[in-house]
Amino acid sequence: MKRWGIAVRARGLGLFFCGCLLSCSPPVGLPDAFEETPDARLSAHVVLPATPSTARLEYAEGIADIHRRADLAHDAGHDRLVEILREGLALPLPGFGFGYEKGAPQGEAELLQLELAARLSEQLVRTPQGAQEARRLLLPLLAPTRSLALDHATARALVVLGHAAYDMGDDALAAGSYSRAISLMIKLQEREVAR
Amino acid sequence: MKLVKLRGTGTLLLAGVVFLGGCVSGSQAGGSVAPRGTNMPPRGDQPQGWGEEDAADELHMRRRKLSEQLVTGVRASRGDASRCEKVCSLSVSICSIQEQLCRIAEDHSGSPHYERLCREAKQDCRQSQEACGRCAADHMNRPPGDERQGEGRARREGETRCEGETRRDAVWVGPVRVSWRGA
Repeated sequence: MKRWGIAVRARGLGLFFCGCLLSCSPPVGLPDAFEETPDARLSAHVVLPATPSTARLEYAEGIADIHRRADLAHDAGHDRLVEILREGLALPLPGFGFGYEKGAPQGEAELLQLELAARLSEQLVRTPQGAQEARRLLLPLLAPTRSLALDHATARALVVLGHAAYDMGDDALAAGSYSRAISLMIKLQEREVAR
Repeated sequence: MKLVKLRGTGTLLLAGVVFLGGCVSGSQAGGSVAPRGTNMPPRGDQPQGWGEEDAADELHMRRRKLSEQLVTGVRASRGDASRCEKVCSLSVSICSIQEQLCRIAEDHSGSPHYERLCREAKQDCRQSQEACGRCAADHMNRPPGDERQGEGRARREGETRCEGETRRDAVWVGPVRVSWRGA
């Protein structure tokens, strides 16, 4: 009887420690984890025109077709528009070597994808539940550790990510995204002035 | 009635003579040569004196050069207008996002992280507005076809870049890849 009691207590302690470990460990890998301070790091690269190929051309045409269909379906309602834009994001990216440098492997395709993701996210943040999806969609594409393409599409996507984060109450991500968008736009402006 | 008809015909003839005269004098004006010293050759439709043929060629070349300069000037000013539009449109976006960012910073008053971001964003907004103002002023003051425009832009761009570098500790790795604000 005594041994039985010890076993029960040991199991209870084990469960208690497991519970502690689960509750105390940082939520690694969870996309909805909020940072405490804004991360405004920005590394950017210029995307140079790549050599044309059938795969790249097909991808560009596919994305253009999605935008065309989305333009036509503008009055068809939110859900239909979101559905079309999601189809575009499902298109497979052309293979590696599309870009010109390590760290920016997708080149122009990356920009097309980002622009489409920004458009979809702009649509998603119009609904209360859409902000979370927009955040999940854009965060990996715009992570502060990634080098971003110096382009209007990137700035647009960063601004939408900021809106989505703000709607969710993630002020650190919102401030960081807005700050990065501003830095990127300053660079775009400097490039325009120098032109 | 006959008199009126004759008067009408006369007026038409007179108008025709005046028109033809105008055409002839016009063609003479078009074919005039550039003044070349005091020994000027007699005027006429075709070059007659010594060197007049060369002067006509020179005039043609000058006219062509002038029209080319005019076209280049107009194109440059049009390109500039669209460039300034882009520069100023970016400035509007930057300042609008800055307002949103500073609103969030207000909710976190006391946090140095948010305060710094808001302060930097305000500085960026001012810098972008200045760039817009400079572009517009430059566009207004520049005579068409000014060949020094590129030089001026490059100088100003350098100044802006230096400001940015001092303020942000920017790192200019090369002409293609740019990193700043630390990594």
